[in-house]
Amino acid sequence: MAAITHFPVPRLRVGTRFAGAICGTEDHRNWSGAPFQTCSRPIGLPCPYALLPEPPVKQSLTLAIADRGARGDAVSALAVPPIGGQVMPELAPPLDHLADAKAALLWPGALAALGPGWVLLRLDATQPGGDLNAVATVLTLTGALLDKLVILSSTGDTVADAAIAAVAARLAASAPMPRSTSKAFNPGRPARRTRQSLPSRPACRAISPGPTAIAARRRSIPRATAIAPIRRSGRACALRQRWWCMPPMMLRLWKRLGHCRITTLRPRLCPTGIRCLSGPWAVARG
Amino acid sequence: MNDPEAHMGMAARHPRPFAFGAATGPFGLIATAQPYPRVLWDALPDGTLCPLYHVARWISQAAGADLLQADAKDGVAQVVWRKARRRLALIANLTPLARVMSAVDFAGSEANLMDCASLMDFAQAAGAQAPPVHPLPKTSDAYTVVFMAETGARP
Repeated sequence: MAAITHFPVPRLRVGTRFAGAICGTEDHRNWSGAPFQTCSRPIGLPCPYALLPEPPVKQSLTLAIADRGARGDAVSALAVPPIGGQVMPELAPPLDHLADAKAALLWPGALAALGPGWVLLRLDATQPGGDLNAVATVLTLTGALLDKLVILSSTGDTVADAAIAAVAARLAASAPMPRSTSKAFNPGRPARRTRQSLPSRPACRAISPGPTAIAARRRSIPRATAIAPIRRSGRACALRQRWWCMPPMMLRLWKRLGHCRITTLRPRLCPTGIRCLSGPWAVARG
Repeated sequence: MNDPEAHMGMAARHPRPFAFGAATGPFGLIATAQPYPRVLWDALPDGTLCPLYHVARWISQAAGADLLQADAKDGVAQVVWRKARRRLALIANLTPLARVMSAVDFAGSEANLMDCASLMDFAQAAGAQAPPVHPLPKTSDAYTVVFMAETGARP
């Protein structure tokens, strides 16, 4: 991440430039929250890493704010949406490492009383071995559902598929892994969640720290992202409904107008699997 | 969609699971020894519960409840919800200063007040809590959190 510009309110432009230690932005809409998170250690870089006293790490943020709006009071930094049918969310503590499950089980009473609805497992499939039974015990103890983020090192789709299948087999073989889950979302309707028993293909969310964005593969991503109606523009192709192909320039324009959510610059990862475009086109998901 | 208002609306209508932190570890809800000094917590045994543990537990118990009120004024945030025909509320002084307590006060309610004075009561075990407080004090100390539950069911 070198720079980002956003518009907190209409006609207020905030540009942020990052310098120094590398920053990265993660899309958390499919992972525990609704935001984009920008932080100073991209997830694709090795972790843990040594942070030495010398030389000092230098970072800087430069903000450029342009207000072209009419005079008026500034909006509150914490804007609470109007109350209207919302429900309280479920707790979803993360397990960033398999060893975290064993550590948590040292305090079973406190863990059970916490009553999480979900457990967010970050499974690094690039590391061999690892005991999933402790994760299964956490689920049994708490009654929580399991949400999974799988990190792959694959550079090709076939290898990535095999790696995901191996992860699914590991999850299925971990007894007792009581429940898996798949999430679905329809535009304009409340989020719907179904529960199913393993073994079945788990709703793996795959990301790759390598150069190939395997994450964009349609069948690896559950339809859990909220989709709002979008303005139909761009150039239609053989894609289905909410997927559109367009040249990068138009894509950038869309992003500026706030019409795009998920983009990839790899047309061969077109979610329908139809190679309907050639050249450096982009796929946008509204 | 990058439009912040639409984004906020999306999050409000379709709440996602939330996470304050892992169960254990460097920022865990359950305190355990770490390879760096921790003021106060190093003097307490492993398994001591952080104040945030109880906040997470209270909100976790509210999962699926109907949200009735949510606001933040003068550094005091409050959330009110209804579950099992009871109103419940969480009120937090987010500032390092004393603040006037919220006007939320259910008739016939019990409140648990977590502040510096009662911190150790809450740190012992998941079920351990400070004695209920009623009525609520007029002001709250720095970073005080109050969990309030209506004692009687309402239609």
